[in-house]
Amino acid sequence: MILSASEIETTLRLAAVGSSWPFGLAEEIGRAGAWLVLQGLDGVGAAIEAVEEGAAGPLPAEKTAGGWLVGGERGPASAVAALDLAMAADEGKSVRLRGYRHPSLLIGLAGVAAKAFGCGFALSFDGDVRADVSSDRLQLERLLPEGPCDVVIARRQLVQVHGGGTLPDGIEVDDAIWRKAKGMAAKTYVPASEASRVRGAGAGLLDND
Amino acid sequence: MRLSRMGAFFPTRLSFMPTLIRRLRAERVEVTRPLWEIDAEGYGRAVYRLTLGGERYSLVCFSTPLPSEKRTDRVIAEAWDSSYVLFDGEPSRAEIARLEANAPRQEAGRFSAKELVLSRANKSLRLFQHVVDRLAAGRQPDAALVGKIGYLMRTTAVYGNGKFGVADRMRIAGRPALVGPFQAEMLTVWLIRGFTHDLVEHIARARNPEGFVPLDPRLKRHIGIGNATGLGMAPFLVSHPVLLNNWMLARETALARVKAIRMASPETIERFLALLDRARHHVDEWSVEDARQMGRIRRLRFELSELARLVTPAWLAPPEPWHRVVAASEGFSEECQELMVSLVLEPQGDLVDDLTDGMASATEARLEPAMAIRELASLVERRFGWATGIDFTQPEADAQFWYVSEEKLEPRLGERRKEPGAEKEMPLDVARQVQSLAVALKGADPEESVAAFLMRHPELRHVTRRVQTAAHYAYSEIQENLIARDCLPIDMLRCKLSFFGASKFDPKSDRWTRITLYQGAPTAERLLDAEADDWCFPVLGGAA
Repeated sequence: MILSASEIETTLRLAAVGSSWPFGLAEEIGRAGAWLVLQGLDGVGAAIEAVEEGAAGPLPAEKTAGGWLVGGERGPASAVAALDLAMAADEGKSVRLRGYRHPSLLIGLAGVAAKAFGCGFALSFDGDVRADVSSDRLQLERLLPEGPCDVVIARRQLVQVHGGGTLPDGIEVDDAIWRKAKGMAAKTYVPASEASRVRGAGAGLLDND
Repeated sequence: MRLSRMGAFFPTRLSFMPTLIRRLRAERVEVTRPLWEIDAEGYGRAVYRLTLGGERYSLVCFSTPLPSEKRTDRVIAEAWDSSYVLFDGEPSRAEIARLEANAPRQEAGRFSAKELVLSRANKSLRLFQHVVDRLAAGRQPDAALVGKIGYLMRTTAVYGNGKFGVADRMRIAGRPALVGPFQAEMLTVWLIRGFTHDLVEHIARARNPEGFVPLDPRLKRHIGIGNATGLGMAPFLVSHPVLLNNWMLARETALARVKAIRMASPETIERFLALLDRARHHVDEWSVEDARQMGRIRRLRFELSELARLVTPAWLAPPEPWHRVVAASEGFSEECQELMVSLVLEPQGDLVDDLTDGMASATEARLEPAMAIRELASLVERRFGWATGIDFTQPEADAQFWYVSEEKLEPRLGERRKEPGAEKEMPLDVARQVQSLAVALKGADPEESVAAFLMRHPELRHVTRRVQTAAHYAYSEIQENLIARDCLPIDMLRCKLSFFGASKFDPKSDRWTRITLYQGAPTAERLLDAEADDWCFPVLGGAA
């Protein structure tokens, strides 16, 4: 299926809302998925996998000498919290995220935050794989770990602002995962009834005037 | 920014349609028609082409038979009299064939990044048939009927920004000609209007090749393009707070600049008074069936006559004339006040037109995680008193809920205690969310960061972002309880449509309206005429 970035963002946001994610977190998920697909990555798959895990809030973070430690719950919502903490942290401090299971989505969330704040993020996965994220660019040294990993997040001053890059002529997404996303999004729609149809915006049944 | 005032807005010269027309004129745009394969009944395909900002665009049009039992302006329609695509470049035959297989199906079709805008329109049977009959008989249409209806077709949706696979907004946002809000959509609608003009002339000519007459240019110019708009526009204003702010800010800045003018030149005074006179005629021609709106129009007519008596060349000669005009209108209705805003801005293009450059939005509402809770609480107190003061224990305060129906994803407004679906409510209950935030903030450590606070309250992330956004964008919020029983969505629709440049608001209920677009605007063949940019508050007998 060839899709627009807007369709992807909207559908992922609704998929998250339809899966009982708070709207504010669902907005982040939608944007992160769209950001990832614009980098040529499977943002839809990454977002749906995270959404399905649920949005249980993270346990309170622990302040450490080096910054923050986020542990306890390792679901996708903890990545949003970790990035918030990285944005709020003093210069030179970092956030450590223990046992995190969705590294790809974290990169997307970092890209969205970088775009919003005009900054960059340096992410280190298991002290081994390093990713540099700016508003429209991802530099990844090698493949991300597949299992739970420890992530260190540090905010960086933005060296260069890009104009948005070149957009692809449509984004190809696997049919099966897209159907799944649409199905999850459909949970936000209210079933139609004759009563709701009558109360909708519009004329009588016809407009032959 | 209250709903009642938003619901009284009129278009200004900063609106998106006049902005587009000025650009088309500045670039001396020529519209050609490289394809016209329309049969004698008016069905077939056509392509219009132009170059704007160095880029080539084509409007691809399809006109198809439509049984009268299927003609509805609602989103839930499944067939239309005509369908359109604004194509990025020049479509090949194969691309036109692809579009012909998809555009008439609208939401059920699929499109590509080569398509910028998707639209459709239904005939106004009253005027369309009348104009064809008259032209075929060698006569011009009845001017009164043209004035009363104002369009040959009504668009019922204009989709852009990635919908159904069309190009994302960011794909074209960097093009100078399309950088302003909805410029691709406005261009599409202007070209559709031209197609409707050509279509009636074509059918009439085919019916009587010898005796046919073309439309009188004066009548043609007064025939705009209609539009039927429902609730879908209302959530847009709430979900785009920065954009809404930028529109309002441009308008308020323009007004402040004009009010600060010390002395008016005799030429500007003459122009203003001519516009006031034209606006009075325009309002006299504006007649609707809706009792609420008709009452407002009658009052406006009276108030304009009062103002016209007061505002003479001698009255405008002393210092600060436009400040005094606006002040004088404050004793009248909001409709009158807002119409005067449009009128005082109109002669001041040199002073205000640059503000249209700032009406788009490259930024989105963003969360500020480093903000201290003390500051967030202060923002709620300072900026959202309108929300925290609402008593949500009263059933009237949350009587309605906004939702998306599974039926073609139409946004609807339901009654919370009578209809199912409130658990799937859209987050337009901003005031109620702000109250939830205010309660949670009371129990939080004032020195804590927003980042730490939201770890415990992820459900407040959205509203926190809104509140923080309001600190930077003073006009980002509609200061009204949008789920109250007495909330009138029609006011939101009118606000947005006025920014488009719509006129002749014709409410059909409290949740949908018909309007006229581009009435009085220059046609493609008259784009460069000297008076072509003078088309606000058009009247059939006047300059516009």
